[in-house]
Amino acid sequence: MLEVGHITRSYGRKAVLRGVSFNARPGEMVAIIGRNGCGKSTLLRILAGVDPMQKGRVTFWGREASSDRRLFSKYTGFLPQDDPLLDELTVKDNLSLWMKDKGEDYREIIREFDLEPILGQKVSTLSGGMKRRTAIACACAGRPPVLIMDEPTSSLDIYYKKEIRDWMQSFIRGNGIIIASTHDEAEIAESSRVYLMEDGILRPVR
Amino acid sequence: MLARYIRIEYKRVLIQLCRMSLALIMSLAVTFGMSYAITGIMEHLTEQGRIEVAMVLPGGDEGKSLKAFSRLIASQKSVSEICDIVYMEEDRAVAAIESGDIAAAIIFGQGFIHDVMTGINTPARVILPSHTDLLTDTFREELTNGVSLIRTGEAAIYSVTEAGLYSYPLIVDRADMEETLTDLLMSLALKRVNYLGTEGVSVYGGLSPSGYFVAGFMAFFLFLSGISFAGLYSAQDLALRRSLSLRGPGAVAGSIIRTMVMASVLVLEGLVTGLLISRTHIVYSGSEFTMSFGMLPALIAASFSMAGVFHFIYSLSLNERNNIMVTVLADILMMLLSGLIFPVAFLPAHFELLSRISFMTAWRSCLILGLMGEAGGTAVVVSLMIGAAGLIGGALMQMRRMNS
Repeated sequence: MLEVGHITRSYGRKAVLRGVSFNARPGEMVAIIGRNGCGKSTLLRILAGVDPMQKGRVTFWGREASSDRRLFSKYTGFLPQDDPLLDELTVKDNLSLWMKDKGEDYREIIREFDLEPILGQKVSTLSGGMKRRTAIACACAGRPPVLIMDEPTSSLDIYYKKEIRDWMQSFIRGNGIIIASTHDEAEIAESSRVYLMEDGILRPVR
Repeated sequence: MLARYIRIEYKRVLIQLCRMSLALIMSLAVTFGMSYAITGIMEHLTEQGRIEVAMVLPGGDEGKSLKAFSRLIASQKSVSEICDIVYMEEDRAVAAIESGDIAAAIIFGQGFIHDVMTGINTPARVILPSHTDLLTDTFREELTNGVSLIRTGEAAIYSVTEAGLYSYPLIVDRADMEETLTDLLMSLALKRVNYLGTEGVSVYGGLSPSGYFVAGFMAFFLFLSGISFAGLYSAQDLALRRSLSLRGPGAVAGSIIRTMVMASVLVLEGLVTGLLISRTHIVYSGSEFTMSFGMLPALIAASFSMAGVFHFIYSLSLNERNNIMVTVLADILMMLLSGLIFPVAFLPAHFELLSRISFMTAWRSCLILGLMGEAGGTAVVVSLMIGAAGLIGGALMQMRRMNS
């Protein structure tokens, strides 16, 4: 289980997060909604261990990651809003930044995300949906139990949105945890719990 | 993970190089052409033809004596190397100066020798055009120098004569004494090699013109080729490195890796460029450029320095187009300031200070040292410091962006 307690973060004098706290259990998808620039992405980056928090704690199954940052990479996979892919490289090269290109884990990821046909293709030649699929595959390297996703279906057409959402549901059914910021109504509807970020405070909506 | 990351960085750099290959080949051709043209221009500027100087002599025996004297002067190596003496009337000499046919005229008036012998010291007139070139200026300096020598000698003779007349008893005949002193003066004054040193001073330092300009334009080209690295720095790259920071290299390690990758590619480019120029066997100002692998340490230092600067510049902006523009403009500016077009000695005085602090000056000096077979030196240390500063600055910028 993921426990987030009293996370505080400021940029200069501007307080972005003020004591944010919530929990998430395996099999749950937590949606975080709010205006643009309210701090959703900052919270997600902190949960993924990419940004430091100034106060608070993040605990994965009882293990506090605030004191051991390696736990973030062990327990979380992060999909930022901008796909962390390099356009000039192939899908295979991008994957190799996240995992060894040999072994069962690699082959499973390729199968699960149906990346075999596009392994040798440059990312710049892929459609938006296929790029997002590749980026999620990278985030799933190491099979983390928690996925942190920043607007996972933004800028995608309805078909790819459904494909990604279906995959997210299958991840949840496999006892994974998804923490996602979103503006998509269908994602909000499919979430176990929904929180609203406003003035740096997280309030439960559902 | 680290090995995979480094492999991917090299692959990205090589992809960028291929993307920019046409631009790089063109810039190499232009750079090489400029280097060759400028050495030709410098050769022309520094090896001008001789000038003609007219002597206007009085008639009669005085004229014959002066002609013999002028032939003696003209035979001096320092004079014969830059000018030929011609004899003409005054009116013709003035007209020839106005038309540019001669560079100067020395006019001896009637009674010149008599006046000299009787201590009246009637001067010879020297006429120069209002706008003089380098050789005429050199002639004027030598003439002034020669006259000053004679004046000093003359003053010495007068001093000794007065000492003999008023302070100390003369034991030799006064006329004999003055003749001896005059002979001594003439033998010393005319042996100008005693006063002109044999040490050559060159704006090219200890290098041939070809080596000087090839080192300079190699520095220029290597820095220009940095435009191929601009594409490595983008919002996508930042997003990836932010995500990778926990599993792989963070901002600092990533900066070190990227800088070393860029530096190693620049070293390779430098070696290839140097070898290509060597193979062309093109002659620069009478000398061919030959690449020496002894240049490698200096090339590594200069390449690391440039890579550090690239890392800093490109970390400031994630826009590839802006980065390329900044690199090209900085390269051209540094090229002008560092004496790549004209050696620093020929630049206006206020440019010299800017030249001294220009990075390109350090890089060029570094490569020059390498061509001379010297591994160390101030330029190498300065280059390494510039590279380290760029690397650190770039790493700090990357950290700031990744945490924002």
